[in-house]
Amino acid sequence: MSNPFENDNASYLVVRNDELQHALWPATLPVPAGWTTVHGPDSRGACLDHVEEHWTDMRPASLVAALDGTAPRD
Amino acid sequence: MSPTPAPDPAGPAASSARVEDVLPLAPLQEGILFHALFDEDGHDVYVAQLLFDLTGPLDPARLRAAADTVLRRHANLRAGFLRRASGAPAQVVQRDVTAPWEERDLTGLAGADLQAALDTLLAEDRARRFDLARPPLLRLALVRTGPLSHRLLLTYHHILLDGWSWPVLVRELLALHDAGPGDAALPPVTPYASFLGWLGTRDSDAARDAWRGALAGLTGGSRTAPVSTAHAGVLPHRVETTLTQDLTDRLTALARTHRVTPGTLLQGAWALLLGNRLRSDDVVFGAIVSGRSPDLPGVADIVGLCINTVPVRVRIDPAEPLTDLFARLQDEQARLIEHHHLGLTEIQHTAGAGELFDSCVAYQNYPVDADGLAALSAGDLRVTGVDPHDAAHYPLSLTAIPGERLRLQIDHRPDAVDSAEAGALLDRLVRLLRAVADDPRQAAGSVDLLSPAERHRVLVGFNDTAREEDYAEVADRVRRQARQRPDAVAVTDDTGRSHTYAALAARADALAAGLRAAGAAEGDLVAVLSEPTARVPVALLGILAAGAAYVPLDPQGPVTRTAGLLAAGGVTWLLCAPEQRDRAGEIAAAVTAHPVRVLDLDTAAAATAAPPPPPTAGPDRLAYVCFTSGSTGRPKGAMVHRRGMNNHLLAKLDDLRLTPADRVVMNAPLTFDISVWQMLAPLITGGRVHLVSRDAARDPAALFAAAAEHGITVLETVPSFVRAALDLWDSGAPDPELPALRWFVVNGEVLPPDLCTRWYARHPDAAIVNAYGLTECSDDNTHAFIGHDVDALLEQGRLPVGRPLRNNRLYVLDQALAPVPPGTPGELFIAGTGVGPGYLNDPRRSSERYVPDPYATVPGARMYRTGDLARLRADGQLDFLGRQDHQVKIRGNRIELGEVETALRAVDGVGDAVVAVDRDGAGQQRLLGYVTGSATADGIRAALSRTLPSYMVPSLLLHLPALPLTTNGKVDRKALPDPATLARPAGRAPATPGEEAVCAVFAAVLGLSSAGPDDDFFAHGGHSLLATRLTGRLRAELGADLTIRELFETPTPAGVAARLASARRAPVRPVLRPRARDGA
Repeated sequence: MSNPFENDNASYLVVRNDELQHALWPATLPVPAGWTTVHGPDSRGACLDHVEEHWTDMRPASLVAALDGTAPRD
Repeated sequence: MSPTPAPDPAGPAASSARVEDVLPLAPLQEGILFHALFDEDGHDVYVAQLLFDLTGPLDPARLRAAADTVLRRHANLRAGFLRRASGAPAQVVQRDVTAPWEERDLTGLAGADLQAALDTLLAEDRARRFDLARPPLLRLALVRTGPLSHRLLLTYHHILLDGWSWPVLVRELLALHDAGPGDAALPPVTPYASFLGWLGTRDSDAARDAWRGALAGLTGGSRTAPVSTAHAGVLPHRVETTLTQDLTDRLTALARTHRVTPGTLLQGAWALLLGNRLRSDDVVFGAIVSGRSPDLPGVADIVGLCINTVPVRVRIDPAEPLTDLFARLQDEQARLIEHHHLGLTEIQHTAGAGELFDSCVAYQNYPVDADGLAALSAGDLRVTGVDPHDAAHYPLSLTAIPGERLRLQIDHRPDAVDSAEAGALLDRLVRLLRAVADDPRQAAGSVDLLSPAERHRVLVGFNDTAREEDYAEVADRVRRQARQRPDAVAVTDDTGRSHTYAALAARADALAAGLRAAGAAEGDLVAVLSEPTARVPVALLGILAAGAAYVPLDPQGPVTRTAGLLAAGGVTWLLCAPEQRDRAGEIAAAVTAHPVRVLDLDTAAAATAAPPPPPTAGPDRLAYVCFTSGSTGRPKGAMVHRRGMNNHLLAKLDDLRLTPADRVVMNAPLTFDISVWQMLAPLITGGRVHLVSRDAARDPAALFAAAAEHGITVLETVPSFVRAALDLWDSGAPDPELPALRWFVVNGEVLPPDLCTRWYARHPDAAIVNAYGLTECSDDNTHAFIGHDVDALLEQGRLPVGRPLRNNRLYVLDQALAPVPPGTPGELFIAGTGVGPGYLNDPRRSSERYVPDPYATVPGARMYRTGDLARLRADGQLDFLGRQDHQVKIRGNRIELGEVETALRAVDGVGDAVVAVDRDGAGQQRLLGYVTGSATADGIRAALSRTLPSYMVPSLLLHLPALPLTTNGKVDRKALPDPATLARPAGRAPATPGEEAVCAVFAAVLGLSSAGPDDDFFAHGGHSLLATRLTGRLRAELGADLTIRELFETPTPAGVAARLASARRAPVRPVLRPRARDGA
């Protein structure tokens, strides 16, 4: 059984939530609420490349805001 | 070749004079013979019954004479099944065989009384086996229920007849009853022998080619029940239902519109159910085919076993519309019709994938409706009803009986599938057929198999865990304890160090201040390098209080690997114990990507800087990062936020009802997330944590001695450690009294039930909790409480891992991410508070494991894809079934085989490498490294110790000239040699004349030049049909009475010879073993 997230022949999306967290998502399935497609449909590899390129700060956006607002880094 | 005649002590000898003909067996007859002989003591599932309602004037004597005439007409109904001297079976037709006849009078009984009497009659009759050697393998019982009403019970062995035969047989019976003696009125018989002869003219090569093509690429069979399930002598149970006429009509119309048969619809539906149940998109099941080729004249009038069971292989493309799937299936099957004659054994052999299926589907299109029955009789005596009772040995058999309303029956072997499960399966089949009728163009993968109640149960009811939480900071909670009980001992260790709560809080705050003064910012990662001593809780609390995240390191880990973790994770701070100073320096120097500042833990914790301001960014800040093995050869740093850590700590507090009186031992390696709760749960409660040395943590005697000495109340370990401890105590080592121990928590591996029983026998007051969880999801996600009645908790032989902890939601999903039905295996996904932010500095791997949660009530929430297989048990707890990938656990350590393989390939002199897992003599899992190239085992081991932690170094390194490859060039893991055979010298010679004789029979039956006394029959090409031949040869040549079951139990010549030696007195018997049994 091909895993829905690990099928090299399937087509995927890159989706992103309000925390700017990125995730892979099978292109054949409806995108769950709270997520926006930011790339795809595309191959699995291309989607992961997109993630690597664009999800550069893995901290949730709300945490970044809190940290930046109160405890600026050196 | 001629059969050896059978002596018959009970009657006139079945001498050659009585033998009329000797016929070969049809392939399915051979299969049935095997199953009938597998266990000669229990029920024979292939004893079949037909109960007819006969209405009209009936003369019992004439009917009985008619039965004898039918036997005279159809020679094969007078056959017994014997073995030739070669071991090959034959059906021997005898002359002058009459039908056993019985009469009962139940006149006067009606309604439920009559039914009860008939049920008793049927049950008693069914329990009477036929001796397959003694014809006839049928019998008749006439039950009078009134002047013009009778029941006729025809009991037969399935090896004689198939479902297409009995209408012919009944038609003849009634015609002969009506016409009187002599069969002049009947058309001539098409003998079964003509069918057997026709079989012999089929092109077997073409058939083999066709089946090989149809089954090509299949990686294995579709099993619905465990292989080990005993299958002899168990009569199946039945669940059944009838579709509404509306649904029946709509399905019939659908089939007609799309030009597929109703049988194809049913097969397609069964394939989807199987695929769902087995998590497979390539399934096989058996189909009963009529075998009556129109090429053979008069085939419809043959009375005999012409049917065959053939595999139906269905590839499921979840995106394919249902109608396309049905059309494709019909097309694929149509091309095989002319090859239906090939025996299943031969088909399976050709496919080379072992036993292909254990479920089968039959669509009964012989006449059982009113019109069909009416056509059986031309006179006043009419058949007005028929009730067939037959069965097969498969764990699951689906039968569809057409009619105005389609009837569906699932026969299930109760030892393999219980009636609740079979009933649920039938419900799902009906739902599936309704979905087919409602929307035939929908994609195969989108059919919802769950009822609304089941859906609610698995998504909502199971996950009703929401709790409002005040996620107070751990440091605050410890400070609060310090104010309440400043002088209470909070931390002790094996070196004799201890901290009171006041000292612990002061040191942790000082460390936090020191870290901040040194420049560490909120959100920074601070690694800790220390042996497990009282320093570590100080470090952990200080780091958390500073708003930073704790990154535990292996104090003995290879420097290069540790440096690699710091570099990949961007870890810039390294706190070390004083004695680890040099090592810390080496590690820091080895990180070239960025500077790493090394701080001495004692110095930093003694700083007098002002306490840091309380951190502000809330529960989304990181708490800790644990590195685990990664499949690509790079470890992954699982990030856990404070929300997840605190939620888990509170769950532990609640579920274990921890109080200030509790003392928890910290024995987990610091790099395990378990160590976090072992330290923090007691400290936020006002209890005490005792840290043991790494040596003590590895040694059952030392650990339990420490537990006794320190009055430990909560101890957590892995099952393999528990087994070692119990084995130690069983061997006579002192078993310490543990009067204080309340909770014995096990996690990290599957918990074998016997360990619990053995544990409770020694420590009945230390309750077992079976925990399951993922580092990525804040440690444990379920707890199961294992009571003293361990057996009562078993389902399919396994213990539960429990229910979701507070604020956790667990889903078991299929490949379309839809929930699977309760009881069905699926991949486990974890959602809720425990789901961490991802893998440190690894967006790529994070994005494919931490994915959108389609069932969340909060938009944008994520779930973690565990890679574990699980199912929901009938008792509502979760059942862990294993990994889907190559991740294994050795003594609780998560290991990706890929990481070990990458490390092996990097060793000088290693060409290629593959790593597998097996169990050693003591039943423990171990890693096996298979390598090619010139490197020596010692050299490889030395090189690995520099790059891998010791638990990841394979136990055995085995050198191969080349790795075995599959046809498409991938490493064939299944073909990796067993280390036992690699290490084994040439097999021993037979030790006794008995062994030598049995070896010779094995070799002859297996077609080998020779066989050794320890050669396993089934590992050397033996299969069930050959087994029948082997036992036949053993009887013929050695006078040895060995059942097939005994052969399965001791499948080697040595084992067989030992059995024979112990039963030396068994007389030499002829090939046929007569049974002195009454009535048959």
